[in-house]
Amino acid sequence: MLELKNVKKRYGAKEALKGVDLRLPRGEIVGLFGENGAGKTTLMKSILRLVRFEGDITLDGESVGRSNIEKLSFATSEHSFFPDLTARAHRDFYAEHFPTFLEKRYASLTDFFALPADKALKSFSTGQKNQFEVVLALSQGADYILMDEPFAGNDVFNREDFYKVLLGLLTERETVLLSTHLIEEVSDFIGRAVLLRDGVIVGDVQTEELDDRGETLLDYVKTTYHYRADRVARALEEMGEDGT
Amino acid sequence: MARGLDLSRLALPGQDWRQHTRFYFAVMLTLSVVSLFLLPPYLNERQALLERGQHYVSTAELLNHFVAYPGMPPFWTLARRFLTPFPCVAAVYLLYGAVNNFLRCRSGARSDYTLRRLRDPWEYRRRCFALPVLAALLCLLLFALLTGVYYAIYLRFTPPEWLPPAGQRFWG
Repeated sequence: MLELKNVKKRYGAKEALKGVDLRLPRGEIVGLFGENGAGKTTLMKSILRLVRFEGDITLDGESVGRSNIEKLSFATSEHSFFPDLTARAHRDFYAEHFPTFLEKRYASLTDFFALPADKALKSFSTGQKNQFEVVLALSQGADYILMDEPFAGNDVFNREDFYKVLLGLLTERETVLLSTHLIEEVSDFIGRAVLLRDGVIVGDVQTEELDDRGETLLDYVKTTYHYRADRVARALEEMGEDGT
Repeated sequence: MARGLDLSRLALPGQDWRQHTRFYFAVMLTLSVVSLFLLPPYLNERQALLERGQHYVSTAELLNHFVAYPGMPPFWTLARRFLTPFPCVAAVYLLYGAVNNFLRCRSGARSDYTLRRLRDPWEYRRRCFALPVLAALLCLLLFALLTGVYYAIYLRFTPPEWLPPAGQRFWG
C-alpha cells in the first residue's frame, strides 16, 4: 500500500499540494487527472522524494527512503533515461542497479516496439523515447509504477497498443499511477480515477461505480471540475459583440 | 585505465570518459612541459651571479651591489609564471567539470531522476562530481610534485651565499 498523509508542497508563494491524502493498494491501475498546474507532477515527485514536501508518504508502512525506493519506478514525459547511452547499455545499468529488473519483460517490450538496441537514446524519435521511458519503468521490477504523461507525443495507434500491452503485462502486485490528459482513451483501462485540482483531491472514484451509475469518466471529470460547457460559446459571443 | 579503478563508474552513464581522460592527460603534459621553461631564467640568473662573482669588484661597486644586487631571487619569483597554471587548471576542472556534469543530467532528459532513485545515496553525487574532483586533485598533486622538484634544484644548485635568508627562500 502506498499511502500519502497530509502531503503539502509549496513553490515559493504557490501552494502546489494542499494536504493530499491518498491510499493506493496493490494491483490497482489508477488514473490521476487534473488541469495543468493542478499538482499531478508534484504529487509524483513527492512520492519519489525528488522534491521536498511536508507530510508523510509510506510504502507498505515504511517511509519512502533508500531501503525501499526500488519499489517505485517512474516514467515521465521529461524522460529520465541517459541520452548518450544505448538501449542495451540502459538494460545493463538497470540490471546492475535494480536487483528486481525484469530482463524478459524488457526484451519482450523492446521487441514489441522494435526499439533499436545499439543506438544512443538521443537519436531515437520522440515516440521511441516515450516508449523506451515506459519500457524501463515497467521492467524495473517495481511494485508501484508512476507514469507522468508518458504518451505525450505518441500517435493514437501507438498509445492504443501500449494500453493493451500494459493490461496483458501487469501482475496483481503491480500498481500503476498514471497521470494523463487523455481521459477518454484510458477510461477502459483504469480501475480508479483520482482528480486533482489546485493541489487538492476533489474526486476519487472506482470506474465500476461510474459504470453502475451509467456515467462516463469524462462526464464525471467535467461534473467534478464544474466544467461549464457553454463557456466557449459565451466567450465567442462576447467577442463577437464588440467585433474583436 | 588501471584495472583497480574503473573510471566508467565515476562518470555519468554514456559520458565519453576515455576522450575526457585523454584530453586531461594532454593538458597535464602540456603544463608539465611549460613548467620546464622555468629552468632557463633560473640558469640565466645563476650564470649572471657566477659572472659577477668572477671579476674584480671595487669597493664602490661592492657598495652598489648591496643596494642593486641582492643575489638569487626567491624561488617563487622565478617559478610563479610557470607553475601557477596548475592550480588555475585544477580550479577550472573542478568548477567547470562539476557544473557541466550537473547540467548534463538535466539536458536532453532528466537522468538525475534515475540517479536519485538508486539505492546507493552516493551514486548521483559520485557520478557528477568524482571525476572533476579527481582531475583537480591529480593536477594539484602534479603541481606539488613539480614545485618540490624545482625547489630542490633551486636549493641544490644555488650557492648558499647567493640564496635569500632562510624563511624567505620560497616566497621571498
